[in-house]
Amino acid sequence: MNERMNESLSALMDGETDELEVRRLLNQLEQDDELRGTWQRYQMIGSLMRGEPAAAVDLSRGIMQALDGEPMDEVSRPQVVVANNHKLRWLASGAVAASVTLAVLVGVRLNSVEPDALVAEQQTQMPAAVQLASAPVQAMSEADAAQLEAAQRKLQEYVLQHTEQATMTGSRAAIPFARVVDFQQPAEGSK
Amino acid sequence: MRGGRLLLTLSFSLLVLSTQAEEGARGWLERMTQAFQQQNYRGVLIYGDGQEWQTLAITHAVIDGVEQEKLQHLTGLPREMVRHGHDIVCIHPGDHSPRLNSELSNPLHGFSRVMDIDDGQYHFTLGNVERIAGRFAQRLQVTPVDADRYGYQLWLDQVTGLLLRSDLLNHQQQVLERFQFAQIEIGPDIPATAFEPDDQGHKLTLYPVSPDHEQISTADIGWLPGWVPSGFHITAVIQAGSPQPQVAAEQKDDSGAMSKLPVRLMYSDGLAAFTLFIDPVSQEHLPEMTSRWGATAAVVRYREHSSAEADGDNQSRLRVTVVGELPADTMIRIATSVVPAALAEQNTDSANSALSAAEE
Repeated sequence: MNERMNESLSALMDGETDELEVRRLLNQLEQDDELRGTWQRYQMIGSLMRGEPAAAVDLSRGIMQALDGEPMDEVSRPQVVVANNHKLRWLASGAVAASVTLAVLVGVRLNSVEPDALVAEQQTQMPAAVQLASAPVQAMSEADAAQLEAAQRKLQEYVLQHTEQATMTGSRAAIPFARVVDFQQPAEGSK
Repeated sequence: MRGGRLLLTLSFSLLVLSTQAEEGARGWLERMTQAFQQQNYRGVLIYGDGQEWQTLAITHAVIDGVEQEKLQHLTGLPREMVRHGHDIVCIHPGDHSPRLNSELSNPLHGFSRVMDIDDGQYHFTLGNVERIAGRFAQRLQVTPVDADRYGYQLWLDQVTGLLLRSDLLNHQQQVLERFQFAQIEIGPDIPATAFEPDDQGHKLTLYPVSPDHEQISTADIGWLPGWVPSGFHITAVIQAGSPQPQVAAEQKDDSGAMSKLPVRLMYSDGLAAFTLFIDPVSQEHLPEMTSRWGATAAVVRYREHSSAEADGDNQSRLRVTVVGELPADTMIRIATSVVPAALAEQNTDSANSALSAAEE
């Protein structure tokens, strides 16, 4: 993979890419395994840098949906229309960054639901601008929301079990404890 | 020490020196472990990953031989955790309390020793004396010998050995997790009333932890990893004791291995730990994924195995989740190495010293 592609991907992560470029990149991602690998690493690094849980899921579909004006994030319709008038640099930092963030949050769902079903559901729903944190839940059908919630709860349970067990067997007792308490924050914070 | 005899002979005097240094460092580690369990202390610590910081108040004492601990969050939503021995009470607003062991009728099958840090997995080096939380602290560098675990920098109180600061480092020497006292008082008298929960909480767990050194048996476990990083040993085995309500009933006619799910296996090399969760595929649709929260990461993978003796299209499908403080690549490798125990044992002498990876 050449330097330029790397730069483009990096720009995409930083939300500094115009819409055409985003579409071009996403198409290329479809075809190029190596590139997709790099992209996924960038996403993960980005999430880590923002202190978000990093999900190794492909965000490109979510971004494509955002580009197509589907309700994937808190950017409301009018803004997307503005974005299509590509004088603006596609609201880059706002829209892409937000949809990347959101896709990380809902990423769990993107891989677990049939893409077609997902699109169909979303077209029937027109969520208003909502808080980013609650967007995944509101933009989903109830069944999906329940599914995502169940998945998240399960994962949380796993992490707690691990941390607990580590506390009991480990020597540095206070650290795993702090982890338990800390881990609960994201779940509560997104109330 | 792996360099071979020739090297060992040639650099004998050097090795003696470095061994002495390692001995010294290990002595500090032992003091640290004891201090954590035996000292009374009270302080404020910061905990985070460089992006997100939490402040916690911690109080720890041994009263009538029982460890008491209280952790209170000073930032964000008010949460606290109180531990009496092995009982943990967790208090926080809201009702998302995840129930531990919800699937397991028989919580603990086998449990064993607090691990010694395995030889050869880490190098220990004593650093300078630095000042942390107003006290002089000995810095101790813990460097992993391979890419399958993380390193640490530890700062231990010069007087008591108590851990005052810990940095968990990835291979680029970036701090994944820092834990550091901002202020601490060591050795005060702390009354039992200090450990009463401020509010009614829900009990997180009650594990009957037995400190005995009984050998952990993996004989009954249907699925095992074909590969774990060198130096990792099983420290706990939790297995479903009786058939599972729905899932197990569905799987009744399946190969024997499936009926022995879910399984939780905990591994440690003495410093790092991971837990392997092996579940039948159930109603929770966890996708294959990798997540990380600071030091802790989780990997979800699905494994399929068509048993030769089973007739028809009898396929075993299960979900493998690895949670631990390890590099994600290593955890993915562990997760994808899970195979029916019979196969895992063909690859390895015992599950404890699994060295060769099971090819998928």
